[in-house]
Amino acid sequence: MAGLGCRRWLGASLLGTALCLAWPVAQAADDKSPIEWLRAIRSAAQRANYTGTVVYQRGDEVRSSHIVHYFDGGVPRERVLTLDGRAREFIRRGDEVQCLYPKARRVVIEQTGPRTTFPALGQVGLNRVLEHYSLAVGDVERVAGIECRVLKLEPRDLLRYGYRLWVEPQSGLLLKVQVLGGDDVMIEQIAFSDVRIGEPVDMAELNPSWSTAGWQVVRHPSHQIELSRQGWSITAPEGFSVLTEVERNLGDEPGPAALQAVYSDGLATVSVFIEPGAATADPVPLQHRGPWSAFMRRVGDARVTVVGEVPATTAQSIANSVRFVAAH
Amino acid sequence: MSERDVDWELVSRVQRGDKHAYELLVSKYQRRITRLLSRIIRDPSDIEDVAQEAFIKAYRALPSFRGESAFYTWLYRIAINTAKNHFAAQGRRAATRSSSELEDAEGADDGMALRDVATPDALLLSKQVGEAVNRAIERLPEDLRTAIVLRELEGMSYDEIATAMNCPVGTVRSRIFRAREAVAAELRPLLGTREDQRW
Amino acid sequence: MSTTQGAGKPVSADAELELLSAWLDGELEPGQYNVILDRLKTDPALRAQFEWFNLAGDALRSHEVAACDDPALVGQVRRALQAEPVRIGPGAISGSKLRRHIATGVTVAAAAGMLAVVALPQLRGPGGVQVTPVTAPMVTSTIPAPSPALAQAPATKPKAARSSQLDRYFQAHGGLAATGVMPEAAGYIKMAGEQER
Repeated sequence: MAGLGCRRWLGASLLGTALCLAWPVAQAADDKSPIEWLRAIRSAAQRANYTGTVVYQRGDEVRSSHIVHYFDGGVPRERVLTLDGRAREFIRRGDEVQCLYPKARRVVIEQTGPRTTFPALGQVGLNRVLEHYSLAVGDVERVAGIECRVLKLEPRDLLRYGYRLWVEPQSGLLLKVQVLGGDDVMIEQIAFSDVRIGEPVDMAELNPSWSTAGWQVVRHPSHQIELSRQGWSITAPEGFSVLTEVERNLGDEPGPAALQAVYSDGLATVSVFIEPGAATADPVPLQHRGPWSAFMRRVGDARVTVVGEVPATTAQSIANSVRFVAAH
Repeated sequence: MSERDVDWELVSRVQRGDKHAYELLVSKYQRRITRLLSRIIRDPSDIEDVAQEAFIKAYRALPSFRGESAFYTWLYRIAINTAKNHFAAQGRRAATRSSSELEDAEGADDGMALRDVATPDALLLSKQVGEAVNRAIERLPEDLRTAIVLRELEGMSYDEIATAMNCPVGTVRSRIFRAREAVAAELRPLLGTREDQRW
Repeated sequence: MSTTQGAGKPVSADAELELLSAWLDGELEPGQYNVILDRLKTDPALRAQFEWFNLAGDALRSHEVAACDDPALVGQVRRALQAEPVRIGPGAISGSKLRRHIATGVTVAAAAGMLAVVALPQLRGPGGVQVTPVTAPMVTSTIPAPSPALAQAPATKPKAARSSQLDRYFQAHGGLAATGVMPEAAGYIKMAGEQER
C-alpha cells in the first residue's frame, strides 16, 4: 500500500473538526497556493449551501439535474433529481443515501459507511494529491454568470486523468469540472448552468419529489472489513490509497455478500469488487466509456471487477494485481 | 512560508553561489526522484546513474529557473527527460514497456506509462517501512499524531494546526518535532545501516 | 542525538533540532533561516537529522518512496557537484514571490473561520450584487465533441456497448466514491446515466 490516509490514524470526527475549524474564511479569495485551493474546494464541497441546475456532458450525451446542497454545521444534506431521461432522485442525509426509482416504485437505501459528518474529508491528504498532480492557476472565466478562477490539475503520469476546475473564489465551490484525456481533450464535463450560492436553502427543497408510500424498500447496509484478513491482496497503483473496505450486497436481490475496496488518489476513485464463488465463464472484457473503465476477471472461483474513473490500463493493472494469499 | 517557499529560499541561495544549499535539495528529493525513475527503468544501477545525471542537469539549469512552477515540478520534468535521453542514447526503449504501450506514450511529452516494477526486495522493504511507520504513529499520543498528520498529510501551516487543535503555535511546533523524532526512530533500524554512506 | 546536561535542564541539542524541524516546514523567521543553514553546512550530525526528518515525512506519505532511500546517491551527487562550476543565477528572487502565511492576518482569519462554521455564509456575487440564477446557453454549443480516439487507449480493445451487468458495480462505486474534492453529487449524476443503458 502506498501509504495510509488520515482516516486510519485519526478518528473521523476529530479530523473533520480539525479541518473544519482551520479553514480561513477571510483569506484573500483569489491568491491561494495550490494546497489552499484544494482545501477551499474540499471545504466548499462539504459546507457550501447552494441550489442549481447541473449539466453533465459526455460525447453527444447531455443530461441535466437539479441539485440542492445544505449544510448548517450538522449533517450535510443533498438532493439530486435527474431532469432528463428516466427520473431518478438521490437524497443524502449524512452517510445515508436514498435512491428513488419512481418507475420501478423502489427506494434503495445505501449506508455509505462511518464517514459520518465529514465524508471523505482528509482521507487521502491534500499533500499527497499534489504528489501526483501539479496544479496550475489560469485565467478567470464565467460559469453560469459567475466569475471563476480556472485551475488545471495535470497528472504527473498516465495512470490518471487530468482535470480542469472552475472555482468560485469566494465560496470555493466548483462550478465546472472537466475530465481531460490525452492532449487535454475533454472527455467529460459537469457544469452548473444556473446556481444560487450561499442563500438559505428552503428545507422543503430537500424532500423527495414523490410520495414513496407502497414502494419497495431495498437496503444496502455495509460494514467495514479488512480485506487482507479475508486473504485478499490488491496492489494499488502509485499514489492510490484505500478509502474504505466493506462487505456489502450488490444489486437489488438478496444474495451472497461482495467485498468492495475503494481506492483514491484524492481526485480519481476506483472500486475493486470481489465476489467469491461468482466466477463466470465469460467475464465482461475491458470496457471503456468516456473516462470510465471497467474490467472483470476471475481469480480462483471469485469474480473480480474493477470500475473507476481512470484510464483503462490502470483499471486493468489493479484487476491483475488481485491475489488470494490465504486467510489469516 | 510554505514548503514551496522553503525550496525557493534554497534555490535563491544556490543561484547566489551556495552549492551546499543544492545538496540539501538533493537530500530532500532523492527518494521521490528515485521512486519515479524506478517506475521507468528496470536496471537498479541505471536508476542511480540517471538520478545523479538528473540532479546535475537540474543544477546546471538552475540559473534559469524563475519559479514559474514549484521546484519539484520542474525537477520532475528534468528527471523524466533525462530518463528519455538515457534510453535514446542507448538506442533502446524502456525495458518495462511493451511496444504497444510505447506507441501510446509516444507524443506524451510529460507523463510516461509509469508502471510498478517492484522487485521482491523492494516490495519487502516497502512493506517493512509501512509497518514501522504504522507502529510509530499508533504509539504516539493523540495530540502528537494529529499534529504530524495535519502537517505532513494535509499540508496545514502551524497557524492552521494551532487553530484546529486549539493550542499555541509553539505547542504545535514541539508536537510535530517530537512526532518526527518518533517516526525517524522507528525507521532507523530499518534504513539506518547505510548511514555512513550519507556523507 | 541529544545529550543530557544535568537534571531537568532542557538540552540545547533538542532545541536546535526543534528549530530544524520548524525550518523544514517553513515556519521560522527569515533571520533564523540563515542560522540553521549555516549550522547545516558545518555540522554533519545536524545534517543527518535533516535527512531523517525528511525521510520521516516521505515515509508518512508513501512507503514506496521511503523505501527508495539511497544515501549513496546523495554522496555521489555531492562529489559530482564539486567538479561543477558555481552557477550564479539572475539574482535573489524578489520578495513578492514569497508567500507569507505567518502574517497575523491569517491568524485573525482563522479565528473568524471558527465563527463561520455555524452561521450560514451569506455570499454575494461579484460586485456585492445578490447572485441571481442565470440560464446559460446550452453548453454543447461551445464545447467540441471529443474524438473517441483521443481518450486513453486501452491495452485491449474495449467492447462498444456496455453491458447492463455492470450497472450494480457502478451504483455501488458511486455511493462510496466521494473524495471530498470532487462534488459528491457528481457521482450520482454520472451513475444515473450509466444505469439507463
